[in-house]
Amino acid sequence: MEMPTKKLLTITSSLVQDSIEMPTKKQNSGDDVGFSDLPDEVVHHILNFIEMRDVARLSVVSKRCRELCISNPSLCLSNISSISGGPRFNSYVDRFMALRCLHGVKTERFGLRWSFEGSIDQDEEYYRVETWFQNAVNLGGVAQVHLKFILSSLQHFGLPPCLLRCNSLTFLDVDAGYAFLKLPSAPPYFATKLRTLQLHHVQIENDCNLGEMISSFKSLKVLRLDKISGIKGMTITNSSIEILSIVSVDRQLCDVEIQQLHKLYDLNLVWIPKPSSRTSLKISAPNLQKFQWTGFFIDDYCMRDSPDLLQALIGLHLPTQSRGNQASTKHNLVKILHSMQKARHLKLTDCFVEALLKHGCLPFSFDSVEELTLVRTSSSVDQVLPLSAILRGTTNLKFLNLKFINSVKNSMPSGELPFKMGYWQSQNFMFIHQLKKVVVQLFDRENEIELIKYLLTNAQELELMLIFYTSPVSSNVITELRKFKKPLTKLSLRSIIR
Amino acid sequence: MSSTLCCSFAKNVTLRSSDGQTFEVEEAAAQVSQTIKRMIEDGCTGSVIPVPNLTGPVLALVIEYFKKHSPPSDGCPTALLEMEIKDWDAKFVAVDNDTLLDLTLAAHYLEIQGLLDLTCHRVADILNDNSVEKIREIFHIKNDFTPEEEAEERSKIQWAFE
Repeated sequence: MEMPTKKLLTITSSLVQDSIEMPTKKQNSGDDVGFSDLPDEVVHHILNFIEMRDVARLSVVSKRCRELCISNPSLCLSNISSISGGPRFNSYVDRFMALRCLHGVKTERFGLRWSFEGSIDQDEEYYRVETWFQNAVNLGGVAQVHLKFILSSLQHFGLPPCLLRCNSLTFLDVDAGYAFLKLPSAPPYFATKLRTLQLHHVQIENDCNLGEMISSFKSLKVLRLDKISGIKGMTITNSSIEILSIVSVDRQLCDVEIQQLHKLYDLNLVWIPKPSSRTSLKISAPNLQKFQWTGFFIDDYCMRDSPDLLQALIGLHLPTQSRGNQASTKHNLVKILHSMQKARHLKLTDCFVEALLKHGCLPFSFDSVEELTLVRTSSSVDQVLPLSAILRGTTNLKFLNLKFINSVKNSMPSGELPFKMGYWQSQNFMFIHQLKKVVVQLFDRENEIELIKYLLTNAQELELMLIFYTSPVSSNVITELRKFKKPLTKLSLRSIIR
Repeated sequence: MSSTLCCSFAKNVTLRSSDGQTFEVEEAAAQVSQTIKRMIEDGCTGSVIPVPNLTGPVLALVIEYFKKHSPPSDGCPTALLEMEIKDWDAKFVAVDNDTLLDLTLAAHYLEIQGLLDLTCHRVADILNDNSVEKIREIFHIKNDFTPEEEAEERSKIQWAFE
């Protein structure tokens, strides 16, 4: 067996007398089903829910327990809780890893949640952690790695190089706790079978080319960059990527270019740039089906190849004081609308719809939309006019869903008169005769009740009207609604807790 | 309510436990189990599906789980259902330890990942909360260490007992 470091060699040799009978066997203890009757893989699964300290205690219960603690193919090391950590814990993990090595236990899933905050010599401790990875990787078969580092701020860290060379690795999830990520400078370094890469809370060093690193993963299908910071621009060119998510909130990012991603079908973008900087977003993904975009509006927006989106979720905020000219803002909004034209499922926030209305982009024809969700994110935005402007364009709507996000406060009575049923009647909505299902979370109660009455009265094909309320609806209103509904319609009211 | 007819045509299957008890359950619900799902796909629906590894009382419990976890038929937002199901799950595994292990084995045998996670989590909680001696007693585990061996094992992980 190949031992990666001298240090481990000494530890291991002192452990040889600990010889353990592997593989494990079940022991029967009478008629009762006991812990001993559980198959190894079930006990291993149980161990995945147990902290390292309790795994250690369990290994004293019986020989089989001890064997199973060591032979678990899924390994999770953590010094983050208050009950583990410190030098004695570290040397326990050293011994534990050495035992796994000794018995050739392959690690399929490796989780490490490690805080370097209390450590006396961080470099030494980091070296130790790297050695554990080396241990596991050397035995082969490492497929999934979850890594969470807690470092004191402004620190730099590198991914263990053995991981990036590991050719069995398919899944890598790294949470760096906002530390700087140092990338190895020269290829070839990378795992060729890596299918999923998720980076969270990572600061990218200025001189590092994230795009280049990512493009070296030839099998990458899922890329999630969650709250990454430190970079001004990124270009993603991996043609293998199918799912891409970029969440950037540090305000530095100005340019995003998604180049020729032929397999990309799901794109999620949360992007809050600095209001004063000029921003651009270029997307070329001919087979995109699902597009979610929230954050602030972008100065230059370009969606090439006009993909046929099936689902679009747009929750953009437009600056209150318009900079640049109104015409170019409108031009960009229309471009966004055009890219959603064939979507069957549309989810929009009230703020975005209000902006569309303000810039004269509504009504717009959404012939393909069958399902529309309007999300209330603010109590100050008027809902009725934007909603009716959108609904005028959704001629084939079958399912309407009105909801609010939990953080919105009800600012009860506005003093204004609600829009009556007659208002909705006068809109002559085209979709009304094929509407099948409506779900409403009551927020601005009177307006919504009037809309519900209108829908119950006029939607001939309505099968379900589901109403969620946070404070009880009076029985008078319920009786009234019952009177309005068609025999075909199932009317259902449920309470929700905010 | 006037227009609910989803349930009237639902297909049922019959499951038979090791002690010969039979239970009728909706096909869609029983397919929460991957093992049963495969059997149904292989055309076992006409006859009784034997579940020889489970006794009647355990199978009855598992069927309760099936019913709660079968796919919903109306448009209720899943987040709300999930909260309700989570509460139900917590009560469902608040059983005596032997039944808990029976359910764990059943989940493993029938390949019900949700139930397996649930029961394993519960077993893990019990292991977390109890002393070594108590764990042996609760789960009928024979201590096969000699006193000397056990003392040595304990001395290596002194930190874990503090």
